Amino acid sequence: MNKNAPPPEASGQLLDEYWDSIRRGRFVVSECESCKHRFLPPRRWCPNCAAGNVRWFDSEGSGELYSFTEIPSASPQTPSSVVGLATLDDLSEGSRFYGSVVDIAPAAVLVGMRVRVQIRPFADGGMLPVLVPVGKEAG
Amino acid sequence: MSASFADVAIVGVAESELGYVPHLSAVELMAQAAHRALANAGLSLKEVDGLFAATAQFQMPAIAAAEQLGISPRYLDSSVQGGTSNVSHVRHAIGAIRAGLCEVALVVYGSNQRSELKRTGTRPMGAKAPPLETPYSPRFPASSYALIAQRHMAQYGTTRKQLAEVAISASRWAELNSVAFRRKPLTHEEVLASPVVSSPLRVLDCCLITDGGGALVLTSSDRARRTVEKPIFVAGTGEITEHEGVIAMRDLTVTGAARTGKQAFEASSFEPKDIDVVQIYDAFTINPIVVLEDLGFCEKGEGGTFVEDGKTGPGGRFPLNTSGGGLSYSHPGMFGIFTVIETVRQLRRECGARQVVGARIGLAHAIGGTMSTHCTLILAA
Repeated sequence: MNKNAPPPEASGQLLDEYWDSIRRGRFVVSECESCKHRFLPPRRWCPNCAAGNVRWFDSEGSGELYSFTEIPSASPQTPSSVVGLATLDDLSEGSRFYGSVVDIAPAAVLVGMRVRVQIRPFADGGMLPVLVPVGKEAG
Repeated sequence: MSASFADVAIVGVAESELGYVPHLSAVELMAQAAHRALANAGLSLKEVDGLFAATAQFQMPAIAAAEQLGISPRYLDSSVQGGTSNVSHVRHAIGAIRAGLCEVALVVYGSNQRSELKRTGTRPMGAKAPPLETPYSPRFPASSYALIAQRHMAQYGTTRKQLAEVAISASRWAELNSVAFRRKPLTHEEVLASPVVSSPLRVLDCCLITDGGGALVLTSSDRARRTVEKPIFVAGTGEITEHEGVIAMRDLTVTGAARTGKQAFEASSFEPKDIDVVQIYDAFTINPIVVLEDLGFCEKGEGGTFVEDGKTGPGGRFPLNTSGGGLSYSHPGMFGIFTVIETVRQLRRECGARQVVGARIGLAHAIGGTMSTHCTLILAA
């Protein structure tokens, strides 16, 4: 079991709602109903306008790899030895998605490449949103 | 120009024993540094009425340090902002001294993380990766800084070799510092052959893990002039936090130093060209490159070129991290206080073989978290 895996049961905490949504195959980000700011990590109060009416928004997950790093010592239980930050078309400026970059050799990863967030199952039974190079998406 | 307008000055600085110090606990390292700094200032413990302490190793550090020292200060501050903590304390001490809430402020740090790592196999850490990062098992905090480095390289053409220049320069300064941990100068070949921690950062791009403590003594400029021969005046300061994790960092190539530098320069009336010696918390080699740009010492994107050709090393035109920095001198965790100690010593002209000739005005800059918090001090003799 990956000791860093998200909690299996929803508890009403905002991040548990996020992971629960991921388990159901929906990649979501926070959206403020007042100012339409869309962001990660999820928050109950909008970091742009302070309004309290933040809801979940189903994101297409399409975007561009903003930066990445390869961690040679990464545990084999993690989805990939490469972790990246992606600028998503659905997120407001300055907010990004953080996650493993999969289905590509580490040496082939490039800043600026088109990527898409996909939810993938992993060996321990957990589901994680990860970054897949465009053209390699499954399903 | 002088800083005669500055109303608070540093009158004492000291380190504890550094490196591998298995016989002293974290709070004892604080105490040893505190006793040495007070001796350096010519003040006694009973004159200390403000205490500012940080460590990642226990809760309520000011309380622990006060009992260890046997004092009952009337002003206490244990605020922790990662590597900026003690530099932030300098700002807080200025406020407290100005407000009359204390007269003699003691700022202390201590950590025995190297001994703890050896003893227990685990390094004591005050912070961990944010929850949306942990499922992907990054190296924390190295991977966050690696993302910054990779983006800077892609956006501005900064090279792997330029990162190595920062480590090499630090090691050449450390060769001149008798208490530095790594005293053998590094070569490009050694840096580039060291194992990758989180690309593009290699082991020798990352700070040391050592034991150690540090302490500063501050008081009003009036009292400072009566206390020591060479008070070092705090001419300008700046402090900011912009994010916690890199997921919320708006632009990986622009740091809070752009704002703290502006605050500190404006408050001091000095400009980047007036600064004789600079210390920037170098937890990773990318840090000085980006922060030099943000502080205005070079244009955005030119930090890599700026550090080339030994320019920041001994004998270079821009003396940077003259103690040897966190990369080669000492890194017991929150390194911020050591940027201040070295700046004060340079301005007092006490640095022997590594002394920057004619140093009158210095800048100390600390970074906390994952490029999250920044604190800038401009000090003047």
